[in-house]
Amino acid sequence: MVTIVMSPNWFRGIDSLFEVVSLITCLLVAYFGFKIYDFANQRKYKTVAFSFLAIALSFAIKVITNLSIYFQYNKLKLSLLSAMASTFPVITSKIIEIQLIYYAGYFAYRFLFLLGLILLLSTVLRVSDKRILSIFIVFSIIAAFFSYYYYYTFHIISTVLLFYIFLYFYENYSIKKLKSARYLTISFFLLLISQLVFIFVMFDSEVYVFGEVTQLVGFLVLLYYYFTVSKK
Amino acid sequence: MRRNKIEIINDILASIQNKNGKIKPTHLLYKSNLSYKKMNEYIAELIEKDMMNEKKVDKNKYYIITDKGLKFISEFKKMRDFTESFGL
Repeated sequence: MVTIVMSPNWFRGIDSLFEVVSLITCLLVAYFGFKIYDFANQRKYKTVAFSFLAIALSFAIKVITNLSIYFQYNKLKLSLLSAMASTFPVITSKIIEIQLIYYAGYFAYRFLFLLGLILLLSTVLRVSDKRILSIFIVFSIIAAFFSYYYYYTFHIISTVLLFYIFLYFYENYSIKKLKSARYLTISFFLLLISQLVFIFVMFDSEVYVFGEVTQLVGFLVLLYYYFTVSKK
Repeated sequence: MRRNKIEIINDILASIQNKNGKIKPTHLLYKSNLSYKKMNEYIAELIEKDMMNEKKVDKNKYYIITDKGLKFISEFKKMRDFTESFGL
């Protein structure tokens, strides 16, 4: 049996609302990155902007996928309740439809999220060799999509990528002691914790709520960072 | 460390801003840390882009920063903060 939704019943829909906040935050940072690129005309700003744009798109796809699954799931429950009138093939086709939405939506979500993190990490670590970057992307994608435990593999890879991004931001903050660098470091620390928490969803679905809340707070700190930097 | 073009432009404009918006060419030459030839090239470009103006007061020549020049300084600050916070 495939577990399609990790969210507990009472939290369904609220998680999508949280992710809309994350999506808006990433879009704002991406927009700001493009603005800086326009001003300075240096590729590194464009790459940072694209990394946040990829993460924003990943959340947009996750929200649409989750809402579609919740909607289809409710429809399925109704047809099961109105019951015996429903025939078996109708219910089976509904389940297949939900699974297809899940696989397609989450495939795109995982791809864009990892792509965003890889682009960000390669920019801050100054990986300019495109061959190294492409190997990096291919291996992450293969591991996240074609492994048997793709859910856990995806969150483990995200955790590792976020750990190195956080470490870089922390070292940068230790040297420069800037307020804005501190917000960025806190934000990525919380995002790292949230990915780590998502790995342990198997123990209890309430853990998913904790992961989502931590992620939301991480993105709210990033939103605060955006306002402090862009409104100077 | 070698400055790039926008850093030099920012230094020129910031020098004018720090002198209450107007500066004498000799002061600007000293503050901008450029050769006379290079400074004139930048000044010509900045005047053409409407970021600064030239004005004569009692036989003295002054360079004056415009609103567009002030806007450039503000955008540069945002860029620098973004760059430094990301460690780029």
